Amino acid sequence: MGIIKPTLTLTANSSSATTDAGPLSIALSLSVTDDLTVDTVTSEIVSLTDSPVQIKDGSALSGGTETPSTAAANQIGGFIYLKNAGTAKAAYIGLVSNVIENDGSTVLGNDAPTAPGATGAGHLAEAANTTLRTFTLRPGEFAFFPWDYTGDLYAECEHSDGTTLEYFLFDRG
Amino acid sequence: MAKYITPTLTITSNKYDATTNPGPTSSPLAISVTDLLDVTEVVSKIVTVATSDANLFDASDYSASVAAGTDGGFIFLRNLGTDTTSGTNIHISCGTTGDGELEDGGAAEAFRLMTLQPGEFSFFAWDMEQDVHVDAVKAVDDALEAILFVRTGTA
Repeated sequence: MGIIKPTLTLTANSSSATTDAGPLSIALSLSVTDDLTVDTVTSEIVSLTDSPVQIKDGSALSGGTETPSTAAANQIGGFIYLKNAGTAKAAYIGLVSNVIENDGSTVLGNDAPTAPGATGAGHLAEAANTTLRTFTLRPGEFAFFPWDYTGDLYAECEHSDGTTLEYFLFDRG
Repeated sequence: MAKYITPTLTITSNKYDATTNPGPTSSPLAISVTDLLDVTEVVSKIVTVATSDANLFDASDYSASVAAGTDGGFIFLRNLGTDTTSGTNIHISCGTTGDGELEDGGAAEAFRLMTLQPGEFSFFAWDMEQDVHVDAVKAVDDALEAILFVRTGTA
């Protein structure tokens, strides 16, 4: 086990600034840090194409189940850092729930969420709320968040040209 | 006119045999990343949490067309609690409807994506396809800070 220290700062100039004007009339300066106890560290740089790939299987990480108990919410999970390391194309990220089928409605509740297809209902590029896409990372954009290993993590590039996704997974200690 | 925010994230750790705050690996970690994000609207709130699921951000309040990479925003969340004994764990999900209890186990109730223990934070993009929900182990006033930065171009 060990400790990692993530620090996030969010800054913005005031809206009247002549360079990189911000969204508010006042400047923004937010900073937060924490000490997190973790054990296993997994990292990979993944080449994405326009077909979805499974980055992480939640049940494989949490001992064979993606339906953790209330108590497990305190203990099972990790912290994910994701970055679209490409320079041209966006990456679609889907935290595919273990309780929603690809049509966005059917409750399943098993340990094998249906993978998003390259096309059809639920695919990561779909512009409808039936998509299994959770968010989009444009080139250079990043995210850092806890993940309770509920469901699976999928990614896909918006274009066949592809992009590169870097991830670090820090398992909670 | 473009309006920008600059998020910067660093993740550091000592090597595993350090005498103070040893890290999880044999070499120290030093990850650093920054970006310039074009945003318009900023929504900031301090939220009181309860023991049942509540809507934190309603996607339909911000977007109707849900085009990937165009419509969406960036969400910063922080559990404002500091006491790991008497504080509360806060659960976050992304779904079209709430499911009552995000912390429950069982077949139909593990909607949650993440648990924020006291002091923990997250920063992630959100495509506004579905709503963001919050639930907690116990009711606590002013327990969660939530800031949404809406991407420029969202409609």
